[in-house]
Amino acid sequence: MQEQIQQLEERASQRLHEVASLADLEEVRRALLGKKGELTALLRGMGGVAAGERPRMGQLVNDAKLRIEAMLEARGAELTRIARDAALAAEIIDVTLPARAVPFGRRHPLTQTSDDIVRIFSGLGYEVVEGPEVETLYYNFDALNIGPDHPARDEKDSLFISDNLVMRTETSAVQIHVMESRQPPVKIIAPGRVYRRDAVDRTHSAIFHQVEGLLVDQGVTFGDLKGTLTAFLQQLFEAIPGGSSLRTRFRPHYFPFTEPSAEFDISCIFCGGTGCSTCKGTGWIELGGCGMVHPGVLENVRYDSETYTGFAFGFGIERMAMIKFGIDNIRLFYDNDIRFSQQF
Amino acid sequence: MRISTEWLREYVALPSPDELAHVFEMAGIGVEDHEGELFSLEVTSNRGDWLSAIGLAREIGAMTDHLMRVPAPTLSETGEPIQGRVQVEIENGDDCPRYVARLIENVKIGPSPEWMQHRLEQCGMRPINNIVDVTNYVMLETGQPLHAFDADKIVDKHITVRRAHPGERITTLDGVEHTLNEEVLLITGRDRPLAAAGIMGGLDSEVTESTRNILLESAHFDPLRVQRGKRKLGFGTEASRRFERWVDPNGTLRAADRAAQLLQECAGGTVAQGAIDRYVKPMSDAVVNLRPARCNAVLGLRLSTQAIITVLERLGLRVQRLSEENLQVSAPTWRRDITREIDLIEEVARVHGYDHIPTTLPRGVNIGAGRALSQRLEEQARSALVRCGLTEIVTYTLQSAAAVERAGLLSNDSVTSAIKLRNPISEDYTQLRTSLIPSLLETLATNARYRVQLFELGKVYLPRDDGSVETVKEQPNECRRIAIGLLDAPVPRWQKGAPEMDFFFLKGVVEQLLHALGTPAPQYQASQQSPFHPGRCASLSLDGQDLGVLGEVHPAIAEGYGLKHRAYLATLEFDALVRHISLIKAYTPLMRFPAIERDLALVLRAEVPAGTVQTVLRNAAGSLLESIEVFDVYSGSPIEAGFKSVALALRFRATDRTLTDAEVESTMHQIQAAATRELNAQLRT
Ligand SMILES: [Zn+2]
Repeated sequence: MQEQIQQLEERASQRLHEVASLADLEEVRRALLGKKGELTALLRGMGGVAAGERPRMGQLVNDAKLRIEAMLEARGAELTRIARDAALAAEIIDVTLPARAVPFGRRHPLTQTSDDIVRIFSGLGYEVVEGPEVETLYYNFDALNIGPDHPARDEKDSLFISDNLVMRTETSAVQIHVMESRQPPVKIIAPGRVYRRDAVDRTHSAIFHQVEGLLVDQGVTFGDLKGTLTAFLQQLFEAIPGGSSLRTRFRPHYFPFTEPSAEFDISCIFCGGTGCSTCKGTGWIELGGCGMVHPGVLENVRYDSETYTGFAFGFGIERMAMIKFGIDNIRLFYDNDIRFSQQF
Repeated sequence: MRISTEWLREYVALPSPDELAHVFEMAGIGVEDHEGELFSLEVTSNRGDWLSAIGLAREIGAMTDHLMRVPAPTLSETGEPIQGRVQVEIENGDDCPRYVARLIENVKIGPSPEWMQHRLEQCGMRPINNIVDVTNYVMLETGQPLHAFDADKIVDKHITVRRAHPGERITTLDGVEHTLNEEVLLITGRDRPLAAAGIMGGLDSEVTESTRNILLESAHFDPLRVQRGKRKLGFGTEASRRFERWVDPNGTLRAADRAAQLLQECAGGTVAQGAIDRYVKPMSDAVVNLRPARCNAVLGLRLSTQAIITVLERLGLRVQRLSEENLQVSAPTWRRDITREIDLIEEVARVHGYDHIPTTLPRGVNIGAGRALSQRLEEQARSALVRCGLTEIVTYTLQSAAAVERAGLLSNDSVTSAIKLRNPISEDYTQLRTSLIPSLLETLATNARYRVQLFELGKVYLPRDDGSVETVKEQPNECRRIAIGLLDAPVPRWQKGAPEMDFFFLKGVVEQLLHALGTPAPQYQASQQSPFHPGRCASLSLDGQDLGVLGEVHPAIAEGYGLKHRAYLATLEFDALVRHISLIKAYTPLMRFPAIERDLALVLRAEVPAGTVQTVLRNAAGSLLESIEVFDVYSGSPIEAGFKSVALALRFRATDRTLTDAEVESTMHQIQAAATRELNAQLRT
């Protein structure tokens, strides 16, 4: 009997070793431990064993059963692992294939730049105002000291709709609307589209975006204008190396609605001021115009030009974005090629 | 204005060319470029005096604190007196306040001296002959344009300055005949016009090889008159450029003397004794008061009164100290731009140096700072669409009728009445857009090779009157709109599972946007309109107000743009949306009692919209119904043709108790009854 048990265990070990699948393993389990299995047959054969031997023999059979079960378990785990490895091997992907294009929306570089500008001036206490793009000649010209014979009113420079209406050439008209509607202090910026009768090239567009700013209060000085624009520009270009310490320059200029007037420049952020092709060797990049609000403009809106002074400034958003992102062609903003848009 | 330092150095000491460039810039004279000695300058329209060598030298002297010297003309008048031999009549002193004439006889026409030709060429002018060159040279030197007539071609040497008669003609020096009107001021002889005043001489009285006697004109014309004459003639000249910007009326005689001197030297002429000087409207220095305290207050400086006086005197202004607080400043007639105190303050700032004005920040707070609500909502909308994976575009607000037609929008009333520009710059941009769709379709076409999801938030311009050029009096209604455009494209096999681009994806984007803006759920209604697919388009409304449209682009339109895959568009009235926005985000208590769910499948006619089914069932259900959702729509066997099966998931809940099955059963009965009664629906079992 004891010998039979031993032989059975050896056979089981041998068969388990040969088994190649979980299904086959189940077969083997049934053949050994099932109702008609070999071990069950052995137990039935216990009748032939001497009564005194039975407990010991029973113990031996049971021990053998536990060992066979353990072997089955171990072999099962091994076969499971092998099967899973095979399944995983079948699922290998080429991880170097291109990714799925996950739609990732982006803001247009112009509205991003406009937002930056608005954010900085909001922090400086400016209110954001808007006005119509189709303006009357009075608001677009006369109220800004641009008389009937000024060249800007020429048909070749501005886009007219009728004898009374023009596509606004500056967002300055918004300033007049605001000043007419309230008393100082006035502290506003007006971003928006403006229109010129310009041929389109790499740096000019008939339609572009501008931001104009205006501060009218008691005691506002030209020094305040310089300080405000310098603080703004250093913040706007802070992400560019050297941007937060860039220098500004104010050059005298002539505008009908400001006096003293200036054009303002920043030290070239591409060469640090030593001269390069972008700054045409001058070390400076011209950005916009500014000045103290002309007393005549204040008087046009019935402000007391003795009590109040103010400054105004204006610049193109496209130009700021071109410098900020290193874009060399203004048309790219309006082509909306997705390969361009997805870069920002 | 082009000028060489060699010429300027005749009048004033100069720094190195690079330093001089800086001096010019900080005076307000733009330096377009400079190569060594030669400067190309940009002069602002208020400073005609800078269009001359002497004027520039004067400015350099003021900025660098150097004295400027200009020698007086030396002239020997050896001819017969001019009086009685030349007559000048001026019809209107406003048009021509001063007219100086000199007579130079027995000149010999030939080339001008080398040095003069060289300077003219450096300034960008072509040497012609000694007579013309002298007039051009003196113009560049003094800023006073001069004209030399062949004196023998003027009948009786009698000149009248008058307006042109309507229809009168003149052939100018360049050989072009112009028909004039009363806007043009003329120099005329007894028989015919001799010159368009301040612009160009006539061909008839031109100096030629055979000319012997010269009548030299040095006048002051009204800037506005020259500007309008120029506009009528359609061209300007070096002369008109100066007259338009103002020429010193008290410099005309001196310029005539200087030219006569040079004609004597360069053409061997005999200068007639004396000059005709008709100064019918004499002009004198402008007198303007300046308060030093005001000057300092505007600029943010603390200059002493003496420092301010010094600065003004360097510019050639005369200052009288009325008191410590008040200065009286006389500005010579070559500085007509100085008319009020602020003009003098600007001069102080310029000469003191913008660089030397301290940089400060204004005081004060502004409680209204930042964006207004409706502007912040724009940001919210942009941000919501970007989070849906859409990329923002910015397109032109001007478009052409052809672009509108291409987008299939020509039948649309508001589109056809678009406001047109009176003087468009190109045929592509002739009118203000009334729809965002044409430029959006064009952008989809630009990107037709890709799978793209785009949006634009921008304005359209809707006319308030009928839109024809003659009658547009009122400003259009400028409305903000949002346009969304999606374009499908095949994805590679290994990327299967990318979100499907279809009508319902577009609808999902629209709903996310409305949700982000806090707008209540809108009504969708099937709609047929261009440029949409007739069976895949919905109009959107809220409380009966039109909010926009969304749908698939009509294949014929898409084909016109070369779009090879299906495209989807939506446009939404942003201003209308804003009116429905609720900014209050109120907390709803979390539900404490359990819900009971029931499914319902109805068979009804295929054309009944699912939205209608939901509305009917919701109305029948009463307050216990928490939500109702369509989860399947099926047509085909075994459903009879022309019918469909709609499966809905209903969820019931009470806020104050646990519902019983009986309550739900009774509600379900009401719902089923309504479905049978109002929708002719049958229960599918
Ligand atoms: Zn540079």
